[in-house]
Amino acid sequence: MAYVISDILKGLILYTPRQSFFYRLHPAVKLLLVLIMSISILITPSHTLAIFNLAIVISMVAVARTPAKALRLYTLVIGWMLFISFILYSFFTPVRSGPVVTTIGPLVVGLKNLLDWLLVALKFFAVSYLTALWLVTTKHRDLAVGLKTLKMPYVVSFVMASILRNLAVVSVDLFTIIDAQSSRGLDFKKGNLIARLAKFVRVGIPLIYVSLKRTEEMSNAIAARGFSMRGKKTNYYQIPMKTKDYAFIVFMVTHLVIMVAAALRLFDPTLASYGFPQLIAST
Amino acid sequence: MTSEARVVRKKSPATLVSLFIVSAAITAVLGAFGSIVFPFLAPISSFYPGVAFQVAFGVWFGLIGAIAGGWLGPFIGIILTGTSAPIAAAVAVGDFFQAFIPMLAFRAGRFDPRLKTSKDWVGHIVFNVILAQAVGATIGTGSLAAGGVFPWDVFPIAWLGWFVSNIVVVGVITTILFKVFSDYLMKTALYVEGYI
Repeated sequence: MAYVISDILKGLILYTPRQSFFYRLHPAVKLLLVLIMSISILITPSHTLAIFNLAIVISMVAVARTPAKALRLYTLVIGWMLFISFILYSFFTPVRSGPVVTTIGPLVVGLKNLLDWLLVALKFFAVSYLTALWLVTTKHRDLAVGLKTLKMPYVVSFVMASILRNLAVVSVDLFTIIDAQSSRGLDFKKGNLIARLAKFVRVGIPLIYVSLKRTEEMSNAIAARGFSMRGKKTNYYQIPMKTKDYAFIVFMVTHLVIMVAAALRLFDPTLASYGFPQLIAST
Repeated sequence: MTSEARVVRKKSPATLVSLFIVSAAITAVLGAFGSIVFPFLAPISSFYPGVAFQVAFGVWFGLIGAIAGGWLGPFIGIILTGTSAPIAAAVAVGDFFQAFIPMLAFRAGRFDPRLKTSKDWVGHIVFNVILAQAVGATIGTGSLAAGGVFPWDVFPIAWLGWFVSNIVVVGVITTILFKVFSDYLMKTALYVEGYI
């Protein structure tokens, strides 16, 4: 059990080296991609545009040669979330308008509620794969370069890169402790909720101890290297922006402008009036 | 704090930055762990061990613990579970208050994290276990409903799920962490007595 979860966490957060166009994009552009495209995907008002967005993201994921393992893991996590969300949208949300799809005892399932859920699902799958794309194609030290390119203070870029680097370390610590306690006979599956919580303390205490020790070691290490928050910093590791990076920024901004215009109803977001087939009945 | 004489060492920027990094990394991993292993309505989990550490970090490490352990760590943890960055940022504001309110209350009310007197226990239960979790649940689940993860009609169910699981976790785990670590930590340079 612990091994599988450890694998999931490590799989979610690890850079996986590959050769593709997307890997060679400037890290600042990849960071902007996650931020800007997440916003433009979330404000998408129609199913048609949401399907287009998901298609764009899946195309990028395919072109980037994102490892299938990362996509599987994200599909699992986001799939579970959307399954629970589906139950809540379908059975626990009153039907206020539109036709009723089915009735199961006291539970009434409305078409509009299902379509609302579908829109959320399309958006969340797109954003989730976008996040996976960013995480597996960006090195931690490149994130620092990206933040620096976006004019973030040195301490911010240093701290963010260090946190990402430490995620894997803490994750390994956590599951090493869980495995060690399990091998001593501690069964996390037995007992009521309070008993299980008390058992988790046997994981939490060593985790804090190990982390405090690491904090002191890290503090000494960065102090020994002359760390200071102020002053101008120089960096031998730099990544120049290229034409393709600027082209990608233009693409992201254009995408955002189109989605904002759709959200403001400056054009028909269902695209029905432009001859596009109505994939989903009007909500 | 009590009137006992303690050696308070000056903290270097390196110590503060290291505290920030480790606090955020721990709560990020535990946040993702809770959402994946004990899912309720991701990123809300039925058992969220990270909140116990958020509260403890806020009380022990002041604003650094509240921001790193309360906001940045959960923000990264939520992103790792596949939720979008804007919604993760909004949900993490709820987590921030779960660390910020205990941090503020323990300093303003001069409660001792070693929980030695009945006053300390009352402060811990009222502010850490109940109030901070109620505020966090309201902001966190409200952000998810506003983001469309679930409809507003099921807000009370989600709120209750967040609140009840958190008060059990904080009531049990944070209490034990305080009793085990506070005394040791207060003798080291890592403990932040003031706000920063």
